[in-house]
Amino acid sequence: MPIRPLLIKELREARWKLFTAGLVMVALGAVIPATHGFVVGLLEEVPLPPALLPQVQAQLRDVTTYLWANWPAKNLYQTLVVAALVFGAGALAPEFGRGTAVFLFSRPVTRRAVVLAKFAVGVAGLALAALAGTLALDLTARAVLGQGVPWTFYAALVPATAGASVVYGIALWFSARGDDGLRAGVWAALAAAALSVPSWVPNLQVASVYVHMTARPLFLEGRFPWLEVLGLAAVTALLVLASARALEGRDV
Amino acid sequence: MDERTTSDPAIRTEGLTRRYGQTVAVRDLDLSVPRGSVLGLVGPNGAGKTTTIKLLLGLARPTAGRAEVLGFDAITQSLEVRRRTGYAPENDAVYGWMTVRDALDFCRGLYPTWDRERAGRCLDLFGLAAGQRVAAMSRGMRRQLALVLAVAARPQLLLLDEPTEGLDPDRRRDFFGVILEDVAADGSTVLISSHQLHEVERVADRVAFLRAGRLVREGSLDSIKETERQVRVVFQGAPPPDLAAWPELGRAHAEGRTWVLAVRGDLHAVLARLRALNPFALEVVERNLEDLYFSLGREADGDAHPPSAD
Repeated sequence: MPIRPLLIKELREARWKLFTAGLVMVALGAVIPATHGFVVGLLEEVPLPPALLPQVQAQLRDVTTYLWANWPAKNLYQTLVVAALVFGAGALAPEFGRGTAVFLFSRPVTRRAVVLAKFAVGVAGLALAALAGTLALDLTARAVLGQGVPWTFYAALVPATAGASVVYGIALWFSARGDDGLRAGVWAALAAAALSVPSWVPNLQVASVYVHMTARPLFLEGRFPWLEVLGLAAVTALLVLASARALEGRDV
Repeated sequence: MDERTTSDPAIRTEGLTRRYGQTVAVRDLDLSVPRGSVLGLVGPNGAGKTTTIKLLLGLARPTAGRAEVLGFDAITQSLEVRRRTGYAPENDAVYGWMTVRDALDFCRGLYPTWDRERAGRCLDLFGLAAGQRVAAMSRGMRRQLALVLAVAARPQLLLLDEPTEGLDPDRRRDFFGVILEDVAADGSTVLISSHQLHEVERVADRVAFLRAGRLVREGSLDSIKETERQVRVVFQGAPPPDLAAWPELGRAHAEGRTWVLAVRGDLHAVLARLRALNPFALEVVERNLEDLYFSLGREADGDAHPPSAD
C-alpha cells in the first residue's frame, strides 16, 4: 500500500506544530548554558540550607553536571512529554471533529497505515525537536562556557524519545476514541500524570517512564540503557496497536 | 483486472442492516446493481442513503447482513473496494489547508488508476485553479473539487452523495452532462444519491427508493414507470361499486370529479373495462420520477388504501 502520500500529508499538516516544538526546544537548549553565570551569581546571593549546599555547589562547579541536570534530567524530557501529549491528542480526534475522516478513510488506505503514518511523523518530529534542542545546548555551551557536551547527551535522546513515544501512544489511544482533540489531550494528560506516580517511590522507579527518559545510566555509569529503551519501545508498540484497533472499530 | 470484476453485480447487499441505538438507519436492505448501470438512490432526509453508501465503503459496519461491492466483501475486503471506488461525500471533507494541487497529489499517490488528463479536464470545466486553497473556496467549489477527486481515479464504481448540492445550474449541467457521461462511457457503475429528481431521472437507468431505511422499490426506471402507471378517469355518474375489487388497480383517489387510479396490472385490460363504462374522459398519465417518489413514499408510509367507490 502506498504510504508515501500519507507521510507527506502528515508532514505538511503537522509542519507548524513540528516547527513550534523545535523552536521551543532550541530556545530552552540555548538558554541553559547561556544562563549558567547568572545562576551561579544568583546562588551566591541566596542563602541555601546547609544540607543542599554541597550538592548545588558541586553541580554548578562542573559544567557537564550542570548541563545534564538541566537538560536530559529535566527540561528535555518534560518538554518532550508536553509535546507528545499535544501531538498525540491532535493526531486522530480532529479528523473526526472537523469531518476530514470521511475524505481520508474513503481512500484506499488502511486505518492501521494512517495510525502508523501519524505515529511515525509525530515521533520523528519529537526526536528532531529534541535533537535541535541538544544541538542548540551544545553550540551555546561551546560559545558561552568554552566546552561542548559529551556524546552521552546525544545518546540520551534515544531513551528520551522512547519515553515520549509511550506518552504519544497514550495520547493517540485517547485521540482514536473521540472527536475532540482537546478532550483527548486532557484525558491523556491525566493518564500521563498518573504515570509519574512510580517516579516518587524509589522501589517503583523501574516502572517509571519519566525516570527512564532521564537516561540516568548514561550519566552515572556511561552505560546505554538498552533494556529500558526496548521496554519503552514494546509498550509503545502495544499502545499504537491498541490505537489502530480502536480506530478500526469506529464508524466514520 | 480481477476475475470478480467481470461476472458479479457491482453492488449486492443481503439483509444489510445498520442500527444506531434504537434507530434503524438501514433495514434489511437487499439490493443488486448491475455493472455499468447508473443507479439513482432517492428518498427523503433520514431515509438511509448516506448510511448505505458508508456501509458499501466500509466506513460503517453493518449490524446485520452483508454487502459485496465489485465482488469484494465491503468489510473484510474494504481496501480492495476503495481502490476501485470513487466517492464524493455529502459534506465537504477535503482538508482546508490543502490547495487543489495538494489534494490531487495526495489522491494521485493512492490510486494506481489515476487519470491526470481527466483530472485536468474536470478542473478546467469547473474553472478550479491548482493553487487555490480549499479553506478559501466556496461550498460549491469544494463540492466541485470533491467530484474531480472522485472521478479522476477512473473508478469502476462511483458513489456520489448529493453531488450537485451547492452547485449553480451551469456547474450542475456540466457535471451531469459532461463528467458523468464521460464516466458512464467508461463502463463504470454510478450510484447517485440526490434530491434533484429531474437530474437523477436524466442520467439514471435504475432507481432505488429508500424510505425510513427500507428499500421501497428498486429496478430499471422504465420498468418502474411501466408498473406504476396512472389512469385519470371522469365517470358519467358514480364510479362502479366494485372498483375496489379490480385486481389490476392499486391506490385510487378522487380529485374533484376526476378519479386517479394507480395501475399495477395489465393497463390494456383496465382501459378496456373503463371504456366499457363510457366515461366522460379517460387518459393514461405519464409519470416522472418525482411523481413516483411521492406516490411510493405515500405507500411506504402506509397511506396507500384500496380503491373505493365512495
